[in-house]
Amino acid sequence: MKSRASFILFHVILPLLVGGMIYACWRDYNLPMFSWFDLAGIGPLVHRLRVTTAPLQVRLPFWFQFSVPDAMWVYALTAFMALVWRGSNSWSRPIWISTGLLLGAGSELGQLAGILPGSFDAADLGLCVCAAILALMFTSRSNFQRSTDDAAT
Amino acid sequence: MTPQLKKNLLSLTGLGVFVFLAVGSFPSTNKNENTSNSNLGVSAHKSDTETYTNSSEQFTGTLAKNNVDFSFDYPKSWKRDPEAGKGTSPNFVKVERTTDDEITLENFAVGYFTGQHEAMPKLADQLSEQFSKGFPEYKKVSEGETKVGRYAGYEFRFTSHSPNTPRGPLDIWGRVVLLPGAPSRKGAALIMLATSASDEVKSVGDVGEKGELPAVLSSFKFAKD
Repeated sequence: MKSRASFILFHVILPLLVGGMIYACWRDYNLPMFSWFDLAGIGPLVHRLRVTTAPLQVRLPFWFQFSVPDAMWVYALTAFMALVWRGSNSWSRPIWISTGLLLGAGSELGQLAGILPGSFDAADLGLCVCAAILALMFTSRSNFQRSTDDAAT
Repeated sequence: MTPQLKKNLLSLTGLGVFVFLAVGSFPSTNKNENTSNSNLGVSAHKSDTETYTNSSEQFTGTLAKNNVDFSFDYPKSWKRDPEAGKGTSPNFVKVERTTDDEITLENFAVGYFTGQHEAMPKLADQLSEQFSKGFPEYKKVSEGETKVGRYAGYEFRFTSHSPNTPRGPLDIWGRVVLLPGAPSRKGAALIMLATSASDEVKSVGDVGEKGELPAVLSSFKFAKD
């Protein structure tokens, strides 16, 4: 149980928090999340955070602000699905595990094709694919360690 | 409940949570997306807006030399500054929303900018230095890369305080976005100002994000990319 909790913390919650912090600190105000922050009563806190972190923005590369949060989302979703479907041989397992990649990369390709609104960004696509691969690598490694631990006990 | 069904339900719930979080990062009103280039751009044009289209024939001197073709929409209730684009003005155009007693609430100006992407931080510093001479208690509060619609740029924001206006002391908040040139065109500097006389704009972070400026900003587009 402890292993599962730490897995969720490090591979699901932490990436989402990192991506969310990038949005909260350096992205435009015209996002619904800022209304949510206001509703939750943390709007002033987020504003102070933005003012404090504003000087850092100049040192951050463009891709960090605009592509990393999406990649973090893909990583967390892929890791979450890998956890849920761990040990399963179901035919639906690969479909669920690839949901993050399908949605992340699919939305970029949809923009490239002009089907979805927004502008295609190769960095977004590249980082989404890398994030899904990394999530699968790290989660399969966790599975291996877990299996070893299980075998040892 | 079978383990298979349980996993499917858990996956579906998890996916719902992830999609919900993603929705939080979608621009709510598409304020900074340049929709004017989409098919919706023309049909969504409201009757209460004017379109300004920049053309080199309008200018002489420095402005003519550094002209770039662009256009944007602004509310009909805004006024165009007759001095912009003439004489030594660094701006092609300036539009403004004021109170009845001519206090600026928000304004939007487009000036020339000939620098390329790599030079923007340095040029932003120079521009900020120039602005500091024109605004009382000037203070640059942030700078960094930004995006206006599909145009990547570099911006800085500043605050200023004017102690003596017909309405008493007023805070002035500014945002300057430098859009670099492309092979087929020169760049542009978008200068936005708002004051504490505005009911909607409450801080420097709100400039171009709240009030009527976001609609003006989102309609900005170059004629060539």
